[in-house]
Amino acid sequence: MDFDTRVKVAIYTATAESGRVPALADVAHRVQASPEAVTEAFARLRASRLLWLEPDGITIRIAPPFSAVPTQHLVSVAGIDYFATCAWDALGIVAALRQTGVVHSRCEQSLEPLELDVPLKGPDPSPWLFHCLVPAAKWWDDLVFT
Amino acid sequence: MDQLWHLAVTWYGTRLEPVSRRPAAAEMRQIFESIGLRGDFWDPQADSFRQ
Repeated sequence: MDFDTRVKVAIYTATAESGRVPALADVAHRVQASPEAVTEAFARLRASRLLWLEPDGITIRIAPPFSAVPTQHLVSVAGIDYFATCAWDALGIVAALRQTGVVHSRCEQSLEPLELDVPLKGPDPSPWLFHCLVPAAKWWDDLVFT
Repeated sequence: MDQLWHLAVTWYGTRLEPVSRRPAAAEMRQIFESIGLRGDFWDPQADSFRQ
Protein backbone atom coordinates (compact mmCIF):
# COMPACT_ATOMS: atom_id res chain seq x y z
CA MET A 1 0.00 0.00 0.00
CA ASP A 2 1.53 3.35 -1.00
CA PHE A 3 1.90 6.19 1.46
CA ASP A 4 -1.05 8.27 0.27
CA THR A 5 -3.32 5.24 0.50
CA ARG A 6 -2.10 4.56 4.03
CA VAL A 7 -2.90 8.16 4.96
CA LYS A 8 -6.33 7.95 3.37
CA VAL A 9 -7.13 4.68 5.14
CA ALA A 10 -5.91 6.15 8.45
CA ILE A 11 -8.22 9.15 8.03
CA TYR A 12 -11.26 7.06 7.21
CA THR A 13 -10.55 4.43 9.85
CA ALA A 14 -10.19 7.05 12.58
CA THR A 15 -13.37 8.77 11.42
CA ALA A 16 -15.37 5.55 11.25
CA GLU A 17 -14.21 4.52 14.72
CA SER A 18 -14.93 7.80 16.46
CA GLY A 19 -17.29 9.90 14.36
CA ARG A 20 -14.66 12.63 14.27
CA VAL A 21 -12.38 13.46 11.37
CA PRO A 22 -8.82 13.22 12.76
CA ALA A 23 -6.26 15.98 13.14
CA LEU A 24 -2.93 15.94 11.33
CA ALA A 25 -1.06 14.71 14.43
CA ASP A 26 -3.41 11.78 14.86
CA VAL A 27 -3.00 10.74 11.24
CA ALA A 28 0.79 11.10 11.50
CA HIS A 29 0.79 8.89 14.57
CA ARG A 30 -1.35 6.26 12.86
CA VAL A 31 0.91 6.02 9.81
CA GLN A 32 4.14 6.52 11.80
CA ALA A 33 5.27 9.42 9.64
CA SER A 34 6.22 13.05 10.14
CA PRO A 35 3.58 15.79 10.07
CA GLU A 36 5.38 17.27 7.07
CA ALA A 37 5.07 14.04 5.09
CA VAL A 38 1.40 13.72 6.00
CA THR A 39 0.77 17.35 5.03
CA GLU A 40 2.18 16.61 1.59
CA ALA A 41 -0.09 13.56 1.34
CA PHE A 42 -3.06 15.72 2.34
CA ALA A 43 -2.28 18.04 -0.58
CA ARG A 44 -2.12 15.14 -3.02
CA LEU A 45 -5.38 13.69 -1.68
CA ARG A 46 -6.94 17.13 -2.09
CA ALA A 47 -5.74 17.22 -5.69
CA SER A 48 -7.36 13.82 -6.20
CA ARG A 49 -10.59 15.23 -4.78
CA LEU A 50 -10.60 12.87 -1.82
CA LEU A 51 -10.22 15.58 0.85
CA TRP A 52 -11.27 19.19 1.27
CA LEU A 53 -8.82 21.11 3.42
CA GLU A 54 -9.08 24.33 5.37
CA PRO A 55 -6.92 27.19 4.00
CA ASP A 56 -4.12 26.20 6.41
CA GLY A 57 -3.57 23.06 4.34
CA ILE A 58 -3.28 20.84 7.40
CA THR A 59 -6.84 20.72 8.74
CA ILE A 60 -9.34 18.42 7.08
CA ARG A 61 -12.73 20.07 6.65
CA ILE A 62 -14.36 17.29 4.65
CA ALA A 63 -13.31 13.68 4.10
CA PRO A 64 -16.26 12.88 1.86
CA PRO A 65 -18.85 11.89 2.97
CA PHE A 66 -17.77 12.89 6.49
CA SER A 67 -17.72 16.50 7.69
CA ALA A 68 -15.20 17.55 10.31
CA VAL A 69 -17.50 20.30 11.54
CA PRO A 70 -21.08 20.02 12.80
CA THR A 71 -23.78 20.34 10.15
CA GLN A 72 -27.55 19.95 10.05
CA HIS A 73 -27.08 16.39 8.78
CA LEU A 74 -26.40 14.07 11.72
CA VAL A 75 -26.08 10.36 10.99
CA SER A 76 -26.27 7.74 13.74
CA VAL A 77 -24.76 4.34 13.02
CA ALA A 78 -24.05 1.65 15.63
CA GLY A 79 -24.13 4.15 18.47
CA ILE A 80 -21.73 6.62 16.86
CA ASP A 81 -22.80 10.02 15.52
CA TYR A 82 -21.31 11.43 12.32
CA PHE A 83 -21.81 14.73 10.53
CA ALA A 84 -22.40 14.80 6.78
CA THR A 85 -21.84 17.70 4.43
CA CYS A 86 -25.14 17.29 2.58
CA ALA A 87 -28.10 14.93 2.19
CA TRP A 88 -26.24 12.89 -0.44
CA ASP A 89 -23.32 12.46 1.93
CA ALA A 90 -25.65 11.60 4.82
CA LEU A 91 -26.77 8.52 2.92
CA GLY A 92 -23.16 8.07 1.82
CA ILE A 93 -22.05 7.63 5.42
CA VAL A 94 -24.52 4.80 5.88
CA ALA A 95 -23.38 3.27 2.59
CA ALA A 96 -19.70 3.58 3.49
CA LEU A 97 -20.14 2.02 6.92
CA ARG A 98 -22.38 -0.72 5.51
CA GLN A 99 -24.64 -0.81 8.52
CA THR A 100 -28.13 0.38 9.20
CA GLY A 101 -28.38 4.01 10.24
CA VAL A 102 -30.65 6.91 11.03
CA VAL A 103 -30.29 10.32 9.39
CA HIS A 104 -31.42 13.32 11.41
CA SER A 105 -31.73 16.38 9.23
CA ARG A 106 -34.17 19.12 8.30
CA CYS A 107 -36.23 20.32 5.38
CA GLU A 108 -34.49 23.39 3.98
CA GLN A 109 -37.84 24.76 2.75
CA SER A 110 -39.89 24.45 5.94
CA LEU A 111 -36.99 23.92 8.38
CA GLU A 112 -38.97 21.06 9.90
CA PRO A 113 -36.84 18.28 11.36
CA LEU A 114 -36.54 15.10 9.32
CA GLU A 115 -35.64 11.61 10.49
CA LEU A 116 -34.91 8.87 8.02
CA ASP A 117 -34.27 5.21 8.81
CA VAL A 118 -31.75 3.73 6.40
CA PRO A 119 -31.66 -0.06 6.30
CA LEU A 120 -28.98 -1.93 4.36
CA LYS A 121 -31.15 -1.97 1.23
CA GLY A 122 -31.57 1.79 1.38
CA PRO A 123 -34.38 4.05 2.56
CA ASP A 124 -38.01 3.43 1.72
CA PRO A 125 -39.57 5.62 -0.98
CA SER A 126 -40.53 9.06 0.24
CA PRO A 127 -41.73 12.35 -1.25
CA TRP A 128 -38.61 14.16 0.02
CA LEU A 129 -36.46 15.79 -2.64
CA PHE A 130 -32.71 16.38 -2.80
CA HIS A 131 -31.97 19.83 -4.21
CA CYS A 132 -28.62 20.13 -5.95
CA LEU A 133 -27.90 23.80 -6.53
CA VAL A 134 -24.40 23.66 -8.01
CA PRO A 135 -23.58 22.05 -11.39
CA ALA A 136 -21.26 19.05 -11.26
CA ALA A 137 -18.44 20.88 -13.03
CA LYS A 138 -18.22 23.35 -10.16
CA TRP A 139 -18.67 21.13 -7.10
CA TRP A 140 -15.00 21.21 -6.17
CA ASP A 141 -14.60 24.95 -6.76
CA ASP A 142 -15.95 25.34 -3.23
CA LEU A 143 -17.03 22.03 -1.73
CA VAL A 144 -18.32 23.64 1.46
CA PHE A 145 -20.74 25.82 -0.51
CA THR A 146 -21.71 22.91 -2.76
CA MET B 1 -34.82 8.89 -2.80
CA ASP B 2 -33.90 5.89 -4.98
CA GLN B 3 -31.63 8.11 -7.09
CA LEU B 4 -29.93 9.55 -4.03
CA TRP B 5 -29.36 6.13 -2.46
CA HIS B 6 -27.90 4.90 -5.76
CA LEU B 7 -25.49 7.83 -5.81
CA ALA B 8 -24.57 7.30 -2.16
CA VAL B 9 -23.72 3.63 -2.69
CA THR B 10 -21.91 4.22 -5.97
CA TRP B 11 -19.82 7.11 -4.63
CA TYR B 12 -19.14 5.93 -1.12
CA GLY B 13 -19.86 2.20 -0.85
CA THR B 14 -16.14 1.35 -0.89
CA ARG B 15 -14.81 4.60 0.58
CA LEU B 16 -13.33 2.93 3.67
CA GLU B 17 -11.34 0.46 1.58
CA PRO B 18 -7.77 1.07 0.37
CA VAL B 19 -8.73 0.73 -3.30
CA SER B 20 -11.47 3.32 -3.14
CA ARG B 21 -11.30 6.42 -5.31
CA ARG B 22 -13.57 9.11 -6.59
CA PRO B 23 -15.24 8.19 -9.91
CA ALA B 24 -13.49 9.66 -12.96
CA ALA B 25 -15.38 12.11 -15.16
CA ALA B 26 -16.51 9.52 -17.70
CA GLU B 27 -17.64 7.22 -14.90
CA MET B 28 -19.56 10.08 -13.29
CA ARG B 29 -21.40 10.77 -16.53
CA GLN B 30 -22.28 7.11 -16.84
CA ILE B 31 -23.51 6.94 -13.23
CA PHE B 32 -25.68 10.03 -13.64
CA GLU B 33 -27.09 8.89 -16.97
CA SER B 34 -27.96 5.49 -15.51
CA ILE B 35 -30.42 7.17 -13.17
CA GLY B 36 -31.74 9.68 -15.66
CA LEU B 37 -29.58 12.68 -14.79
CA ARG B 38 -28.43 14.15 -18.09
CA GLY B 39 -27.32 17.44 -19.57
CA ASP B 40 -24.61 19.96 -18.84
CA PHE B 41 -25.68 20.39 -15.23
CA TRP B 42 -24.59 16.81 -14.50
CA ASP B 43 -21.52 16.85 -16.74
CA PRO B 44 -18.41 17.18 -14.54
CA GLN B 45 -16.46 18.66 -17.45
CA ALA B 46 -19.11 20.94 -18.92
CA ASP B 47 -17.92 24.40 -19.94
CA SER B 48 -21.43 25.88 -19.74
CA PHE B 49 -21.00 27.06 -16.17
CA ARG B 50 -17.40 28.25 -16.45
CA GLN B 51 -16.80 31.96 -16.25
